[in-house]
Amino acid sequence: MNEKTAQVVFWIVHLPLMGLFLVGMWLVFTNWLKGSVAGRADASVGQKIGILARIAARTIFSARLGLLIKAFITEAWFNRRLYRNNRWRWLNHFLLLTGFMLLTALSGISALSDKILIPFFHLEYVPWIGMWMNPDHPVPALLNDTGALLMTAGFLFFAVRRYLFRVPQLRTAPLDTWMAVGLGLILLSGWTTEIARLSSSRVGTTAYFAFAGYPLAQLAKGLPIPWDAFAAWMYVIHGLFTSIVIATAPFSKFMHAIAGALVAMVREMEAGNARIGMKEGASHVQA
Amino acid sequence: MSRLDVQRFTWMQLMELDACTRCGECVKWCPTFAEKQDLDAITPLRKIEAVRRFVSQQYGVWARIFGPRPLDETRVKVHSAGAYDCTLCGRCGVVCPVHIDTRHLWIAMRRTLVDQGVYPETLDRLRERITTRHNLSGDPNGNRLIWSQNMPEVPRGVDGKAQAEVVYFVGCVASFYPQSYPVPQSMVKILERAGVDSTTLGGEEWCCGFPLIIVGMENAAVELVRHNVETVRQRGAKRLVAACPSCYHTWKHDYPRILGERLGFEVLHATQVLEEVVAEGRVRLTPFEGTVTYHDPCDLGRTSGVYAAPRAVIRAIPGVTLVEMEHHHEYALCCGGGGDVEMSDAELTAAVARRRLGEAQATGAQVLLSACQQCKRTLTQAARHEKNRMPVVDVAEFVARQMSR
Repeated sequence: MNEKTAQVVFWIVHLPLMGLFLVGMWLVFTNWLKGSVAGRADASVGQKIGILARIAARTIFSARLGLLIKAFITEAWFNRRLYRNNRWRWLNHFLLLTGFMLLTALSGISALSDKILIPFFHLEYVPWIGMWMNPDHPVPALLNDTGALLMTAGFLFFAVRRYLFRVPQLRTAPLDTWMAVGLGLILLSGWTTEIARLSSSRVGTTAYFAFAGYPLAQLAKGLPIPWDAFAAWMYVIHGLFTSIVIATAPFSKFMHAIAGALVAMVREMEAGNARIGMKEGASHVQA
Repeated sequence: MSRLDVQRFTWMQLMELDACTRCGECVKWCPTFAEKQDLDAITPLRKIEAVRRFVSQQYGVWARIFGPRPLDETRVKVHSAGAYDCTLCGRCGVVCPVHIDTRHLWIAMRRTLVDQGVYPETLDRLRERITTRHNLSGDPNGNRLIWSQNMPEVPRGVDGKAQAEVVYFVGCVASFYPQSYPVPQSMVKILERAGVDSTTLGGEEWCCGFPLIIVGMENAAVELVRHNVETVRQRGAKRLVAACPSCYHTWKHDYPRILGERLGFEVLHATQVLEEVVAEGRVRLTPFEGTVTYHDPCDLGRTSGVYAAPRAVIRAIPGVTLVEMEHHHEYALCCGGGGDVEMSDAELTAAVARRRLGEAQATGAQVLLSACQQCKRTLTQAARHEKNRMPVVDVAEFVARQMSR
């Protein structure tokens, strides 16, 4: 398989799975909407969506947007509560989430550059756009390896804590194991893909900025493997694993990444609004 | 079993079911699980897991294609045992990394259990007692001022002024359980000394509805809510003061929601009024040379956010040293008296109370203060059971004792 075929195969597999992901999200979202919205239990789904859209618009197009962004940073990403109560678990979670967000953002940016900005707007000569086409450019290379290392460290913490030390407070169910397997496959195939690519003939001159993948590729290079074809295969396999994990997210524990972040942000904003209310209106100081 | 009614939940609560990662942070903090480790269904993560399963069986993808699966009766019973052994202290919600509002979620779960008819039998008697006798104890409601009968001097206005600026809502526990009589006695003394134009509702006071709301029988409480609000409005009151944190929370947060309108008067907890009258010098306090510790009642602290007022009142007493227990403010341990658990499992309540008492004793304080009649009652019982001489005193009582003559 060559690089072009690999790309075609990837998109053939990826797009239907993303469609499945969207269908899954819609099913989950409409299930949430079976509950009452703003005290209205028997409103139609459309009416409930309308109420939520108005609330969201009032938040985004107001000074409360600042509160929302702050809530995302402090609660959804940094997770202050976990930091206060369990430092080891916080470190595990922070590494995993930061790595995951960084790699997802990098994938999104490079797909945006590759599929839209460059083919339609011919912006390849703008350095900050063109660089995303070249994985060996110092910036993507450095960021990709940083994200992968953070995620790998977080994953190892997670696996050791849950399966080796068996922390008593944890209750491991099949969905937890699927999450571990899914993440493990993504990471393992991701590292293999990176090493295979850096060992192939397509490697660029600044590839050494991939400070973890490049040295590993130097070690692996001597192995009798057809690196070009192997890199293409691994690209497809990694894409397949990632797409499957994303497609199953609405029905697996990965859903907590979306639902948990939303809940944490909304609740933190409610608490923030209450604190503002207390300062302005109440005669009694509350801690 | 009938179909699970997901409309009992808000959309946020249904999202919270998906937000839980079963990380187990809550398990370490659950006061009832600490005492009853053989019942895993008590733990917050198991309760969420159970309901998520029920929702998925009846509304998930497969249910949409092949129709809902009936609820497994055994699973629902186990879930019910866990849900009703929860004191609703809300500690799990404070430590939840994704901020799940657990207390309200547990109440919503209890509502669905009431729909299914799977709840402790004692709750039917509770509902009947409250809706017919209008109080928690089942005594004749006309005896609501019985606590005032042995006062050497009953302050003016205790027995039904037609109009007053402040209505003091005594609450069922303080009205009918002798251990708590000193609380209303102290409150009316302080209000009179501070020159507050106040009254009680006497026999016209009905249970606030809290015990019904928290067991999932909110519909039965609506009549109580309407009656109480109407009666206070007739008094022309600008403020309603409750010394019971559960009554306070219900008046402040549940009443406007249930009625769908503003009450038209301010709702305060007794400690907030005490803070005000002490700060304004309307009540002068004599020194207390000693060390005290303060127990945050769940419905006043975690649930209502009132932490500073009781501490400000205690610190206003000259000479007093206030020391905190190992767990305080939002992390405070429950006294065991919440969630109507005592009605179905009195031993569990006693065990939780003993643990809290142990924390108080470890501070070396001479007095254990609280701002809740129910906490006072459960902690006093624990002290008696443990042959512990530490007095458990309400903040209002403490202030009344230290008032200069």
